[in-house]
Amino acid sequence: MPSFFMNKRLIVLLVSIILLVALIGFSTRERENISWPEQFVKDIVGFGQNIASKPTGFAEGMVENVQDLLNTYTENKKLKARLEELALLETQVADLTRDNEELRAMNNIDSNIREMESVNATVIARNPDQWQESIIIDKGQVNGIETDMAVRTSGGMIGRVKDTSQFTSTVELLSARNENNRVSALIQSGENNIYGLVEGFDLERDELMVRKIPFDQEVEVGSNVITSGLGGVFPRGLLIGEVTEVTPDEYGLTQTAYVKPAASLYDIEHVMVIERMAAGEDEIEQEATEEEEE
Amino acid sequence: MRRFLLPFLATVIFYSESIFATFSPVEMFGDTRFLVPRFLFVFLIFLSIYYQRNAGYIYGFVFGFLYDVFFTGVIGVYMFLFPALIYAARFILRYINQNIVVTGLIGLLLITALEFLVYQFNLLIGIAGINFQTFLNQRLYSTLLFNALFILIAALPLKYWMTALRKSQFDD
Repeated sequence: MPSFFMNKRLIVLLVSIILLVALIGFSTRERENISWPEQFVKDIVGFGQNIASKPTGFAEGMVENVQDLLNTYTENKKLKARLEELALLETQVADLTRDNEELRAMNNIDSNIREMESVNATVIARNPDQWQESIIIDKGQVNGIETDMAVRTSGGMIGRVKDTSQFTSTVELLSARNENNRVSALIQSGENNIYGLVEGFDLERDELMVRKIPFDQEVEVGSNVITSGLGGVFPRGLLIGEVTEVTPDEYGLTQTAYVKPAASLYDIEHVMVIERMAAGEDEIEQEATEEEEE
Repeated sequence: MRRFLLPFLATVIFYSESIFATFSPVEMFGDTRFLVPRFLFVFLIFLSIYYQRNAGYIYGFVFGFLYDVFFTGVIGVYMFLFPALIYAARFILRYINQNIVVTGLIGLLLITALEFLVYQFNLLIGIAGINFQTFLNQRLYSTLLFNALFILIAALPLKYWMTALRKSQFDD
C-alpha cells in the first residue's frame, strides 16, 4: 500500500474531511456561549465590520430622511388626528401605573416580571448567506449583554441573543429555524389572556406560528400577542405581533395561530437588548441550592 | 505597499458582502427572493486563475474560516468549500481553454454548486427547511442573476489588475 500513502491529494482530502466533521460537530452542539478563540476572531472581524458599516449606515439614513420629508404632509395630518387620543391615553396610563405601584406596595410584592433594562445597539452586519436568520450588533459582554436576552426594535420583539463576544453579539431572529427557539407568548383576545408558545416561522406567509393554544379557547383575529414572561427568560409585555389566522393543529387537540410580526424582521437597523430584572429559573435554582448548602 | 493591496481588497470585498446582504430579500415577480452576494467567492476564483493557484487556496481557507466564525457560527463549511471549489475550477480549466468569458461562466457554475452544497448541508443539520423547488425559486435564480451582474462589472478590472500584479511580482 505504499502508493496509497504517497497520494498527497487523497491524504489532504481525508484529513480535511475528518477535521471538517470534528469542527462542525464542535460548533453546532448545544452550548451556553462560543469559546474564547471564536470570541477573539469575532471581535477582530467585528472591529473592521463596525468601521465598514458606518458609511453605509450614514448613506441609508440620508435616503430615508429624504423619503421621510416627502411623506411629511400626509403623515402630519394623520398624526394630528391621533394626538388628542394620545393625551387621554397618557393620563390613563400614568394613573394606572401609580395605582399598580401602590397596590404592589400594599401587598409587599417586590419583584415584577415586567421590569426590564435595555441597552441600545446598532446592527453592523447581517449573515450574507441568509440561511441562519441572524444579525450582528455592535454591543457585547463589556456592555453587559448576555446570551438569551430578548432583543427588540421600536416596533416589537425580533429575537434573542444567541452568542456574545467582548464587543459584538449575534442575535438569532424569531424567524430562525431552531427547535430551541421558543418564546412563551400571551394572546390578548378580548377579555381573556390565552397562553401559547411561539414556535416556528412560516416562510411562505412570512408569519410566526403560536402553537399549543388549548382547543376550547377562542382566539380573535386581530388580537395582540406579547411575551408572557412565564418562560423565565424574557420579561413580560414585549410586543410580538398580531393574530391573522387561527387553525386547528393536525391532531385537533390544540390550535395554531398565525402571527404577523409587529417589527420587520428584514429591515433592522437599531435594536434594544432587553434584560429581565425579575429572577428567572436559573437564579431561583441557584438560590435554592445555596440555601440547601447552608 | 503593493503586498498589502491584495489582503486589503479581499477584506473590503469580505465586508461588502454583509452590507449588500442588508438589501435582501426583495419582492420580485410575486415572490420573496433572496440575493446572496458571493463576491468574495468570485474574487477567489479570479485570484486563483489570474494570480496564483496557491494564493487562491490560502485566501479561500482563511476567509472561509472568518466567514464561518463571524457570520454563520458553524465552523468548517465555507472553510472547506472555498478551497474545494477553487480546486474544481482549476480542474475544469485543465480541459477547456481559459478566457474571460469562460472564467465568468465557471464562476456562475461554481456559485450554483456552492449554493446547492450549502443548502444540502443546512438541510442536513436542520437550519434550512425549504424544499428544492422553493430553494430554486427563492434563492438560486435571483442569486445567480445578482452575482452575474457583479461578474459583468468586476471581471475585466479584476483580470487586468491581477495579471498586472503577477507580472510586477514576476519582475522583482
